[in-house]
Amino acid sequence: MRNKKKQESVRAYDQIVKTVCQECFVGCGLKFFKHNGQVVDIAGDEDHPINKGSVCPRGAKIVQNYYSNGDILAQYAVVKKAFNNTGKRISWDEGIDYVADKLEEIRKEYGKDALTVLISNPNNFTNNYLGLRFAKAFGTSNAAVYEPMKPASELAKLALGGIKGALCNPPHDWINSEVIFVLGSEISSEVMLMGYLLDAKERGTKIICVDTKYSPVMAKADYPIIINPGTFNAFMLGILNIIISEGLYDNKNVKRWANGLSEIVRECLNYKQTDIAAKCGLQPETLSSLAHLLAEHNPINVIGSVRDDQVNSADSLVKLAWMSIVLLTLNDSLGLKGGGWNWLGTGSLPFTDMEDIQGGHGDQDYKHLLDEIIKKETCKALIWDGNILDENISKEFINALSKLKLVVHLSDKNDAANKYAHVSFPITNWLEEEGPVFCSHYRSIQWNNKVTEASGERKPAGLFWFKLADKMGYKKWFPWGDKNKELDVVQIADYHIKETGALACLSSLNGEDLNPGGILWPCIINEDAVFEDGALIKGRWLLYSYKDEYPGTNQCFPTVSGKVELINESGSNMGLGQLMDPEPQTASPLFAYSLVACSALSFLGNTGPAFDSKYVLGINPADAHNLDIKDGDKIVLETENKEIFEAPAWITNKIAENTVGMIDLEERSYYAGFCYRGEWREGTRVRIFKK
Amino acid sequence: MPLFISSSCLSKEESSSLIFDPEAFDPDKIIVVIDADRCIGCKACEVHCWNEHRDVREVGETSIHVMQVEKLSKDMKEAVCYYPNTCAHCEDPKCLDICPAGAITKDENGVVAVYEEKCIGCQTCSTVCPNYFYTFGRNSGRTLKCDGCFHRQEQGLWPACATKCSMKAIYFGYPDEIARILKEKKAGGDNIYIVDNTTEGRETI
Repeated sequence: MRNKKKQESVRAYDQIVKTVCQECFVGCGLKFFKHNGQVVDIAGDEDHPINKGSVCPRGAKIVQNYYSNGDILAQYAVVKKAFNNTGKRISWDEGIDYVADKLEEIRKEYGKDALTVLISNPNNFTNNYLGLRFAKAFGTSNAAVYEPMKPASELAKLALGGIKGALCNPPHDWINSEVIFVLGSEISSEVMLMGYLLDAKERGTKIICVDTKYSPVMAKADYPIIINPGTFNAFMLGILNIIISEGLYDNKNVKRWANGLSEIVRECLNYKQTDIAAKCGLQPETLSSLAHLLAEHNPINVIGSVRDDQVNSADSLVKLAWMSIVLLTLNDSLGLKGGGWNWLGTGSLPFTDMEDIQGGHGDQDYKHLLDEIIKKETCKALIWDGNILDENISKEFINALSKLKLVVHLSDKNDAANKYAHVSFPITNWLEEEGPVFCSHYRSIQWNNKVTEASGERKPAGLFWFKLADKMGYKKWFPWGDKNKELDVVQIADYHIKETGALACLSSLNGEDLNPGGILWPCIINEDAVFEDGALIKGRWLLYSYKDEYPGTNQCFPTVSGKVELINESGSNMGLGQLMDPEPQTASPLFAYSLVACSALSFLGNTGPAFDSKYVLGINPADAHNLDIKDGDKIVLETENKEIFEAPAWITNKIAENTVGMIDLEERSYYAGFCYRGEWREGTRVRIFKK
Repeated sequence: MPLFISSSCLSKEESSSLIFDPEAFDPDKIIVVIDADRCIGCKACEVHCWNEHRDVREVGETSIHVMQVEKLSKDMKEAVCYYPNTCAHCEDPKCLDICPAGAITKDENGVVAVYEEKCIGCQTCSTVCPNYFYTFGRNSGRTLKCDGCFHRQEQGLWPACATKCSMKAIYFGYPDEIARILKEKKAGGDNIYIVDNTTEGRETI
């Protein structure tokens, strides 16, 4: 008998629940095996088009949250007397009564804006849609859904014409590219997308990866390029400069599809190639050969996967994203198979302005609001579902939390954030199959039209908002209760879809004729929709096509002019003329090293000697020699504003010269411990010395 | 029999002499194939392995470990290739011969199995493993050798790491199946795939 590669469990189970993983933006299909209501095993869904049965470590670890007695959260909601203290068990309804009363008190005393609502999981539809609605109804303007790189999506809207979400072509199309140009290594934390890169590579696509340190994408790239920290923009400018000054583009063709070329040309020629190469720490020839490679192949695909703490500011990120659109336009790669602009981590479900509610309007930047909690004392109550990654490093944040009158945490796992709350509600992010699940990397929406029961007292986060709104008298703005006063997810999804232009072709999810399915969006007209077995499975493949008109318009790009707007109001506002990254302001020659926001250990490899520490500081052997530092030496890192960080040294050539990498030894995924250290960006100048 | 596929870690000359020939293998014995070209070092295999054996092991005790090979290349400062290191289920396992407790056996389909309850934790097996593979429990000291997911194979399923690998970089199979998979891969592009059963030249850190 031949064995099978089947996604099956060998444990005893009586039910399989199919759902969508919400650990990252990719949106893989998962199968949970349940026995007597308890999760016993997990596997990938082999019928799902994204992961085809595989599961990455981030997805696989979910089973640890649910397995046996580890699932403490499934059991009860807790009111705590004080932080970091055991509390008493109460029911969901009691918890909601408590929160509602407290919120009323706080509003009376401090005003509406004393409440901050932070939603960290942008994939959970009911949580973020109802959370923002609740904030608006309450009247606070301090509400945000986490979007890592929001400005980039705003930019996409302006340059490419109004579609929020920034994937021109889905990953399945990447194999059609001749060159894939990956900026940064963020893509390796959305593991399943790496598979599409490898597929493309196996078919002969050349992969360029540019980053400030070594990474798995680098390991797989044909052209792995390490640049100095904080010089992404300079690098991109260098590429454009060479393409423009050497005339490596088809002027006539570009003018046919884009406006503003002459301004770009003028702008890019202001810089000197040799200066740019020196700034990036590259040989001018390297820069030149990359520019030629990019100019001489078509179609090319740019994948933006730069972390926001890798650039100097959100503005820099916008400029970088914009320059990559310029590159694609010069290459004529925006409207055809295999060509595209894929800026990962942008956008979320296209929310409407919720004009039916009279109240505040909160749609702010998540990180900005986190900073406000630490720096200002105006926030008195916080409702959130975020994660305190590292208690040591988040001391000031925890300190700020302890001063608040009310902290409510919607907890999907038993972590530190759950501990630092007055009330924590056990929610489920995975076991429910609720309304649309949005996956921005994949530009898709998936749904199942039903809510599957979660284990124990875990409930969908949307139910918390719904019940709280009901209790506080906002029922008219939350009319989606069923006869048992529970949340009817299908109804909200239906309401939301009717409000949202990008999904207009789905006249209703609330019908028996539409089976569970998913689409690549936008799916603006019915002709774009592909059905299979009563389920809508696909929408528009390429966002733009040179051959076809954009639905609802008589032009290729949905902008006013019908062309890509390389120079427009926002372009002028963001300051052409300052495309280069600003020079780091080094007050003292002592601060000669740049920090890199370093990835988790698994991305750099094992450290060799075992370190008894949570962090290590990666130092290049040449620098270590100059400073007389050896493997394992205790190192002090000091920033210009005198912040101190201590960790053992790891001498490795995977960290470039003149940089220091802060590496988290425990964190499995890519997000290292930079959380809540607002000023610690890549390129920050530091001093290192032996303790 | 360990097979190792890589176009990045070995040179072209080495590859030509190492084309996979299914005839050279016993048709009824399974082969473990590691496609290092696809491994990105994500460690999903470790999580899956632990999950499969979690009833008898502590958190983090796995039979598979992601390693890396580093070698300098001319156009880049250095090249890294990741691969999951696990028991290769050798045709003639040296660990079986040397184990003083007789805890290691080779069953009819080629799986080199360890009876963990018989293991006395002497770790002698690790001294002879050509794959530098052996791994031991932190507290028990007993071997955590890969059992080829014996309990899954009993039910007609391949081991967890091979089934659930995020990048589909691990294969278990009989020689004819492996030949088919490799052929498909080759047909896909110009990349040269190297099949190797050597462990030399691979340095792990």
